[in-house]
Amino acid sequence: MSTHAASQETNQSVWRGGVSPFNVSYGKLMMWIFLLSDAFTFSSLLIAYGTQRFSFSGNVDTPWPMPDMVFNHFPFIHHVHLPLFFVSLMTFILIFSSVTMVLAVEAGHRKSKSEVAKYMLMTILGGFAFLGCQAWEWTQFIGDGARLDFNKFSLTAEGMKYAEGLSLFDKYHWDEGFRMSGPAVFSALFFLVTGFHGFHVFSGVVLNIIIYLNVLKGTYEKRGHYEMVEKVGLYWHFVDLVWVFVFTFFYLI
Amino acid sequence: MSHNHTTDNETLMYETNQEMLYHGESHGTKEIWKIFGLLTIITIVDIFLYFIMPANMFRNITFIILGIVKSYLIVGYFMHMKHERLNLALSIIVPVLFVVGLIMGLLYEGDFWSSFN
Repeated sequence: MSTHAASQETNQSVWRGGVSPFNVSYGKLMMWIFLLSDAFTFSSLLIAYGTQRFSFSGNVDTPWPMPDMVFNHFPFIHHVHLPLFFVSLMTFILIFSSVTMVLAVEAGHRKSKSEVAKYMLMTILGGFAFLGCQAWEWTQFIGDGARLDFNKFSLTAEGMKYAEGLSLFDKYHWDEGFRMSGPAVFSALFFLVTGFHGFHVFSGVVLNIIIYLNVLKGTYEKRGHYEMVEKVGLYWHFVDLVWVFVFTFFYLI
Repeated sequence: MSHNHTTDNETLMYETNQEMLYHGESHGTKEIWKIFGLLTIITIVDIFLYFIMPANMFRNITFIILGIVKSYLIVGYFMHMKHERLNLALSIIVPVLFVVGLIMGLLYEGDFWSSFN
């Protein structure tokens, strides 16, 4: 009888809602469920990209563009063949901002308000840096003639020969005869997937700013724990995770 | 917190005392920097392979495997999945594995379309 009373008092009864079967709070569990659904959304976009790309394999009339010859710009360095350099920089920015995020979570466990604030601010700055890079990348792509329904980055036979002779750090110059219009879905999916990812980064930055202001206000100090930092941290790492695959499929492969 | 339940001690406990379920403790920053180092090295290897390997299916598969290793490090350590209860980890990871079937099916389909394009 006394044990029954005790269990009612401490609410440890598993089947009456007193204990979380997952041993995490409601908010954190729901963040995981949301990320799962978001993972499906990004999977469907990337699978669409893969399907379209496979459907143009071996096609000589409308070949799929070589990513090498599309994304080979770097700020302030003109007409030098630098494929993958700028996007690698973006990758490192995002990885580093993920690290500052875990450091903020770790500082939260120690309830060190000033450190949480410092690392949150660094994460926010990393997010802005990434968004700036993406804006530059889009500007370059659109300036080169990409539209949602138009892509002129496919290489003609002549262009293919030129691209094969081109090596890293070479000066390059485009002859109009090197390019032709190819599958429009290439630029459409580039805008859609990187845009959707960029929108996630933007939302993440907004959430991080809200949490940062709450940290400064002392909301979590009053609450006694910094779990909110951990929850937005999950979202932020997810954005980094998606970028790993965008980087792999759009730029590396 | 609806006021219908404020008298129910159990529900009150469950809806308000969430920090009961939050047992964050610091494991130090050493592991974080180790994972950061690994992610950086794998990304550099990616870039390196991009320039030295010929563009073929073998290189693509290498990139995908390295991508999976990176996501394991991010989800396992940065998102703390390795330290969560197994039933939570399985609830999130197993549904994602079913996506592999969709990838296989649609890549096969795309390859089939290439005979019309």
